[in-house]
Amino acid sequence: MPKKRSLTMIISLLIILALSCSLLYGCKGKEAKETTKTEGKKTADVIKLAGGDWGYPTPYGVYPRGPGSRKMGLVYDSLVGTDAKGKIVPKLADEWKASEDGLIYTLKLRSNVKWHDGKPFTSDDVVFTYSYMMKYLPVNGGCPAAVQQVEAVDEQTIKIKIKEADVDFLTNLSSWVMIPKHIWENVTDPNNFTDNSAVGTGPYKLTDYSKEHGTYRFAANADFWGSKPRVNEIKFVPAGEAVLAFDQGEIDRNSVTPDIVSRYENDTEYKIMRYETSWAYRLYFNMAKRPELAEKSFRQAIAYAIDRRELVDKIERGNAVPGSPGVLHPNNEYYNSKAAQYSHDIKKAKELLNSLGYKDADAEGILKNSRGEKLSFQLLCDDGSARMAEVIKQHLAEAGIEVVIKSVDMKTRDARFKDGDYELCINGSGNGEDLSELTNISGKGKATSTTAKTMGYDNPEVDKLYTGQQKEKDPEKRKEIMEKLQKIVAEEVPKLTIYYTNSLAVHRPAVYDGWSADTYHSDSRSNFVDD
Amino acid sequence: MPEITDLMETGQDSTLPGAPGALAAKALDFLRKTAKIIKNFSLLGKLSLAVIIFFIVLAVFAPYVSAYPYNLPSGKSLAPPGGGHPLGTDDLGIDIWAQLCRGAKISLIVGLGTALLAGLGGGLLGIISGYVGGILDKFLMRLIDIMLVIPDFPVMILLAAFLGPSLINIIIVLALFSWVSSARIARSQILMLKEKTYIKSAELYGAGAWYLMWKHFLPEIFPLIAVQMIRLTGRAIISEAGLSFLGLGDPTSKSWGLIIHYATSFKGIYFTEFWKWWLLYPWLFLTAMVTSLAFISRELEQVADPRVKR
Repeated sequence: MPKKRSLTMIISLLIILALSCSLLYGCKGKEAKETTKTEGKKTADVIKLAGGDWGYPTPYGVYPRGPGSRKMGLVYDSLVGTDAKGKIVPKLADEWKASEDGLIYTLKLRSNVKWHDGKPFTSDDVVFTYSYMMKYLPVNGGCPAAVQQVEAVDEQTIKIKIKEADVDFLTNLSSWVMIPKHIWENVTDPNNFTDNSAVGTGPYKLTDYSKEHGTYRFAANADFWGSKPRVNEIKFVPAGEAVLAFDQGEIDRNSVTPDIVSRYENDTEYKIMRYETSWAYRLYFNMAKRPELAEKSFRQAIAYAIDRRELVDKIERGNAVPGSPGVLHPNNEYYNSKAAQYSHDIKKAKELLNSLGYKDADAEGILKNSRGEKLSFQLLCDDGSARMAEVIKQHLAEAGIEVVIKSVDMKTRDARFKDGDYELCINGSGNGEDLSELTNISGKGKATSTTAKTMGYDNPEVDKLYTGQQKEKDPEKRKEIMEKLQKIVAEEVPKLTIYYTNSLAVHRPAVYDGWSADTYHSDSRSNFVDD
Repeated sequence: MPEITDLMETGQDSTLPGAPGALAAKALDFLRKTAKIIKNFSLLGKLSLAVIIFFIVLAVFAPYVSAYPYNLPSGKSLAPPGGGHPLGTDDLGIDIWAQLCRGAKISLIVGLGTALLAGLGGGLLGIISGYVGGILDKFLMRLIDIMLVIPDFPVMILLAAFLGPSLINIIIVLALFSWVSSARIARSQILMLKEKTYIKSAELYGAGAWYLMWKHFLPEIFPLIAVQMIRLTGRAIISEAGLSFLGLGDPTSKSWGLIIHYATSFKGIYFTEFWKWWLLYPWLFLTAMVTSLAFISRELEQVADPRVKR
């Protein structure tokens, strides 16, 4: 009888379902573990981390995003570096001197530095790197735009001439990586040169890379000029569900959300590290494309309408710091706490919009201009920030602004952001203060930062103050200029910082406990080697 | 089987169509026959029908059956079921029940839209192909062969990514890949029908292609196409959910697949208890709807083609 058979089938299906549900649920229960307090291990043979394709780790092959440049940073070195506090430390150059007018820097190169293939590193390579990168602009790790000329004095000495005095020049120099002349000199298509070309002077050699699987393998460089790398091999492996992969020991460190951090609390097997970062999501206004946005009070209205606290609570589950309109993170040494804050105030937002002539004549909820056109913007975001866009849409709807969300993949968003092909855009980036992108000084727009020109923002005062603080040697005076700059930027909101993310990372001290307290990136070089 | 002849009769009924009384009588007659078919359903079929009717009611009266809006937060984020929110809330604090009601509407629109477009369009193409024959028939059949070989879901992903996410696009893309089976079924029936004597004699009396199609072919094959359409509805709903789950759906549509997409992209959801409402309920709704549709199409198949029943 078919009827009976199908009934039994359904019943058995239901039973299987119930069983699998209870099994899934059972995963959550944690058995009590008896672990003796283990001393953290400071060295390790192999460290496994969650993979993902971030490009071939050369200055030309990586994707212009943090994970890509950090992998490149394992292989390549710059002339000087910066420590966690921003102090300049020696890398390939161990001595440096600036001329009296601050225009010429003389750097003495470290002796006995070898490329991964055994050839010696000399001043020739530095000169070559400069001329090559001038010819072919690298994706990452390029030469600072301020450099005018690089010349070799002798085998171990170079002279760098810069266009304008800049107290931050050495800091900028720390992002410029050296490439070997003997590998690159005949290469004319550097972006596709991925044939064993990742030869650097850094602590790790690339031994394996798979674009399709997003895996990398790095082995310690025995001839490294600095201290011995603490980890012999770093593997980036595919990890579908990172939490599960970490629990099963497939990866050795994982960043977690506040909702699941309780799994690891009060358990001596795990150690949780918490970081406040300057990595921030920002809302960009394209004033070149939408003239309405060029109006200062319009942008202020948007800043009032968006409840940044709620965004922190909903999108990051409370694990973030609400953005400050002055762009700098509250724990930045130059932070100005007196700059405008725009605490959430829908009434004020509406007043500002009304005073600009936008009225809700037909009480539909959406404001219209004098010509009767609806106030509507397209908000460009990537898949990862679609939920944030959703909340921003709700907030702006309350103020009478309609938002149409356009969600694309990250690389498309980055490309459109760089070209200024958006009206409103959510983009996130780390590394420092990012005030330079509000000026006309910096070079081309990058995937993670833009320029004032692309945004259609032009304030000579901001440009002047920014160059002023670059030249200022006195920290007190510099702070003063920075505070003034933040006050103007907060007043004008050419971009709105939504929030700065915090990071929670968990690892097993018994496997490896050398994770840096200064950076939350598990793939960062400082986790594995002291330079 | 009496049912199939009943259906044929309704199609070939030649009582005067003009008078309103006759029309009402006809409608009543149709209802009675439908009721009879449903009465002959198995228990499972009746249950499935109840589930589908439940979803249709949900979809139509969505704004009235949910106390909260489907697109605005109405409570704490990720609140568990209970306390005003019968099925809890998602990460933005939006009521899940309200979203599911809205999602029922989207699913039905996509499912029925695709089924109508693909079922009727495919059926018509099949009739034309079978009746006209010749080059046209050959061309259409080879086209169908090609469509059958193409793996549909990957191409759908490609097209959805290329055309951009919107509900209309999704319906068109789904229909493009689902008309094939109805066309083949229709054609095979027509090939058989057109050799029957009553068709031959109608032709002799001067019946044109249109007349034959509307008066004889369509009513004859409609039951078979209807079964096919219900099957397509289920498939379309699943495909839409699949595309949305992959992030290729209409981001503003709030379909069930999209709820599942957002839930599964919430980092570490399986290690929290949120999946118990945020993920489980949309999944349950989706499964219930598609399973019910499958059972109904099986029941109808038995009605339309008694050989299946044995």
